[in-house]
Amino acid sequence: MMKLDNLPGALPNEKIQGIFRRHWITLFSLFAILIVIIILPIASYLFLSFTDSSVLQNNTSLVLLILGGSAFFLFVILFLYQHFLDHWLDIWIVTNSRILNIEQKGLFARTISELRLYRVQDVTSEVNGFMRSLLNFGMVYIQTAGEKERFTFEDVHNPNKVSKLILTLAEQDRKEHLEEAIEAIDETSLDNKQHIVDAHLAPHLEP
Amino acid sequence: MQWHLFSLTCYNTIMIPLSIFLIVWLVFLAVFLFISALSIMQMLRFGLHGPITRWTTIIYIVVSVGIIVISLVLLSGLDLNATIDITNSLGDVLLVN
Repeated sequence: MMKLDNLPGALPNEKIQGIFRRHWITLFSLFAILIVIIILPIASYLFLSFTDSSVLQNNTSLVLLILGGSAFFLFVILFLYQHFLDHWLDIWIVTNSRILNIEQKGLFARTISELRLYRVQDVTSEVNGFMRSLLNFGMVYIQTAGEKERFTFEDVHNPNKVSKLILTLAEQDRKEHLEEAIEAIDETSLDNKQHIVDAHLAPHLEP
Repeated sequence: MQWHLFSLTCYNTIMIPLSIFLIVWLVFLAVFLFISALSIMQMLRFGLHGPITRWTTIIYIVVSVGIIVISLVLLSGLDLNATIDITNSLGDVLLVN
């Protein structure tokens, strides 16, 4: 098991400031559907026992019912466990110097990405939809210097609080890594300048 | 035990021994156990050290073993050497006279 005092690629004096996962309701929605699916065969069995008891007294149908039923329930519990595994192993860890995004995709694919806090430029929180507003969960987008793709926390609880925490920690980390932060900002502004030059020159270069 | 997959009699009836279904179930069980072992291994390797990781795995193992044991106990009281006549129910589809 992964211990929090032994994070992948741990830095000296690194302290965990927050651990975030998807909101439990994202897990609950599938569980609710599966509960209905589990109830269906039980309801069918009860229906058969009240209406046509001969089916349940026949040796052949009982064997088929037991084999089919156990295969069905084993499949359902395996599916539930796989889904929980996928939910539980997706995790965002915020420390005083970086953000770790650990994402499990299926059973065999796992991605761990890391972002240094001094590179954070902009943090956006988004709560979109009825359930998200009601239960206060949503997305947190983190824009970094020199990278086009955004770092995203998906369906985390209280995204405003999370974004404020990241901004505060990024501000503190930027003070500690002033030189690197300036270099990162310079890289971004150079990229932006290049984009502006490209955009202006491209129409003139076309034949 | 005679292992006739299909025995076609002169009366055009196809009899399948129930043990065939048991073999299919055992194959399914082997696949289930293989995927379960992989899932548990992933959970214990990468899950955060804590009670939820441990307890969900324990509950999963207990429920799975429970389903398998209950199935085997129920099956032990039944005759698996019996055959099923699929032409009774599927005769119109399978056999054209």
